[in-house]
Amino acid sequence: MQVQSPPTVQPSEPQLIDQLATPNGVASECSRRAKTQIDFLLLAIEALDLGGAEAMLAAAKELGLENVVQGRVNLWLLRSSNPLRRFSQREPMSLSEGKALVLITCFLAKRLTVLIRQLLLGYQQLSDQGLSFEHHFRLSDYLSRFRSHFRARMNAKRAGVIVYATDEKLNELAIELLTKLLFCTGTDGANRLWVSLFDGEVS
Amino acid sequence: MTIRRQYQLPNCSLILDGLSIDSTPGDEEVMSLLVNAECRISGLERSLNGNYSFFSALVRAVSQYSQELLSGFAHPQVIEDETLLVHINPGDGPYHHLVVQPEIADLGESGDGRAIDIKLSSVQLFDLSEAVDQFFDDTQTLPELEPLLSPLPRRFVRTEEPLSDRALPAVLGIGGLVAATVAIGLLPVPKAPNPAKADRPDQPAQISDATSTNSANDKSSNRPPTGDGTEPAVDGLAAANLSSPLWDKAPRITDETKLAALQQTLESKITGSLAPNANFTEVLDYQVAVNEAGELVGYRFGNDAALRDVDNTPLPKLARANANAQGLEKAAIAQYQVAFNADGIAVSPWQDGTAVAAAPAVDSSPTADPAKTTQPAPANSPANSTVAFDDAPPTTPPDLLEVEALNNQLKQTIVENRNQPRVGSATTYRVRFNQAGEVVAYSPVDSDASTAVNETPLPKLLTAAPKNEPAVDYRVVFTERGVVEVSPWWGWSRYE
Repeated sequence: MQVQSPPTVQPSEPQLIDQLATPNGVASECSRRAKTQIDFLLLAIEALDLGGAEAMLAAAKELGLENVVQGRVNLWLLRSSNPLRRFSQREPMSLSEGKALVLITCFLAKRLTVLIRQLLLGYQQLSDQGLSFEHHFRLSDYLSRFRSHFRARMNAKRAGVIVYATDEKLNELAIELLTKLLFCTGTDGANRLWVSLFDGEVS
Repeated sequence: MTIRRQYQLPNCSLILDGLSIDSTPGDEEVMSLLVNAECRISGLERSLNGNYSFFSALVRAVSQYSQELLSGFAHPQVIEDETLLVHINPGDGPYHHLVVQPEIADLGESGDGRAIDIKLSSVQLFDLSEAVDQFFDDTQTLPELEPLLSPLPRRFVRTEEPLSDRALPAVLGIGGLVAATVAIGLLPVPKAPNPAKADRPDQPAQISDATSTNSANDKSSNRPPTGDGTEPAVDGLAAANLSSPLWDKAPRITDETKLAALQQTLESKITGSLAPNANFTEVLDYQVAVNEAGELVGYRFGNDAALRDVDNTPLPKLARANANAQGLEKAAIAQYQVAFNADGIAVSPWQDGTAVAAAPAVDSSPTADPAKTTQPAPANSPANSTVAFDDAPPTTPPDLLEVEALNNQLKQTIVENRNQPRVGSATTYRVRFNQAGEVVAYSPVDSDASTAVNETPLPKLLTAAPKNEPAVDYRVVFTERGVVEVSPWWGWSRYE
């Protein structure tokens, strides 16, 4: 998707990022857990939406975040800062890069609100009736796509990944991420997600 | 001017009725006084209604729990020192539980005094959270309520290492401890030299007699437990007055003026015969019996140091006159607690650390049970019947899992039944808790604890139960900061 009017984007860019206040007492870069968490949420978005990776770049432009997320390679590098990745870059993620990814996540989650709610309602019905996920086509589709994305990209030798070795554990993670994405769709979703990334990081 | 504000989502709506009390232009539309808050949740027959305290507790709990869902770390849902009125707990699968205390939410006639537990699915919970966020976003309604989003401080978060990694060092450590305990248990108990025998050759008969009575009447003797169940080496003289029938059978002096006079006599006697260079680094704790004439007729040890350093105290000397006397139990005695410490000595009326208030037991033949020492209740303790805590560790300990489960249950019971967390000096109780989850007896450990007993829920929780039912004793501490701590009286290691 092309942006119609780049010049008007310029003034709004700092404002959008500044809406997310940096909590007091946090380090000047995103923590390990924050990097993992953001990447996992984006992975869940990709599993929900086949064109997710492209949509992220488009969202970055639409939100006026091109200065922070500069194209495909930069986005890939940022996501690869997740220490659990197979090709982890072990790069720091600055706070503004973190904010940009949080805004993109919430922007895309809002677009997918209907699907996210459907899948969570489906999961609720299945678990009420004690049925397996295969009985819900969209849900099992999402889960299998999430599992394959996860296994293809995460380093299976890391302790943080070994805990998700089974299909069941990965399904649980996928559902957990789906619930988190639902909470990202709210009025204050971006702020809530951003603040939650620093839980346990301040004294 | 009455104002109504509604925040509607598919599964949940919040309806606020309130007033504007500010008449300055531009502010007439601001709802500054809440009259009623209504929370409707789809699938729930009745809506939740409440006043400002309900609503502020609700929005806080919802906001904090949303953060908990996003980060996976439990957030405190109440400001410190406030009662928990609304709380959300994670449930199974896609569910969460919204728990509302009955005193703040009006549920109509269906309120039965119990907390209201509403099962919410993730989507319902999100709608509730979104309604709350829309309310927060609305500056025209109760502007003083703010989301106050802030990251959870480090101290609330446990390490992120997987459980298996975290458990390994602990397992190794406990394993090592168990191995060491077993190894130590295999060693023979060292024979303590017996200075009493050498020092006081005039009392051999009494010593052997007392020691044999002692082992026969094992359970009632006041003796620190040893880890492996073997008998500790008891000093000969020390044993002399430990287990005589004196403690069990002698009538007690109850006249308070006489008790006070005897206390003074005892105090001056001890002070008078205290060696001038006596120096006690540790507190020595004794239970001392005095007859009506003010003569010291017996004493028992309250702690290990008391047993070890008894020769530094004047007690053996003072009690010697009566050491060989027979029939002491026929005369009335008064009991005192005597503590020797670095500052001097302290004599206080015996607070009956072993005899406690208990509900009338179903089996009401206390003296028939040799395992229990019954003592008359002190003047200031509740006047119902007494049950005794013996000082011998349980011979057939229940298994660890059960003790652990009861431990948690007892703590839960106490926390649920207290009115307000008690703040002030720490108080300790010994509590007997049976498998049915009832408190069958409790005993304050010191005088502070016995004065504060009515500030604890223990008297309320006391339940009558058959005496011989299996029960486990716990140490319950109400700490200075109002925290309840519960642990097995004999320590965890007894049950492994």
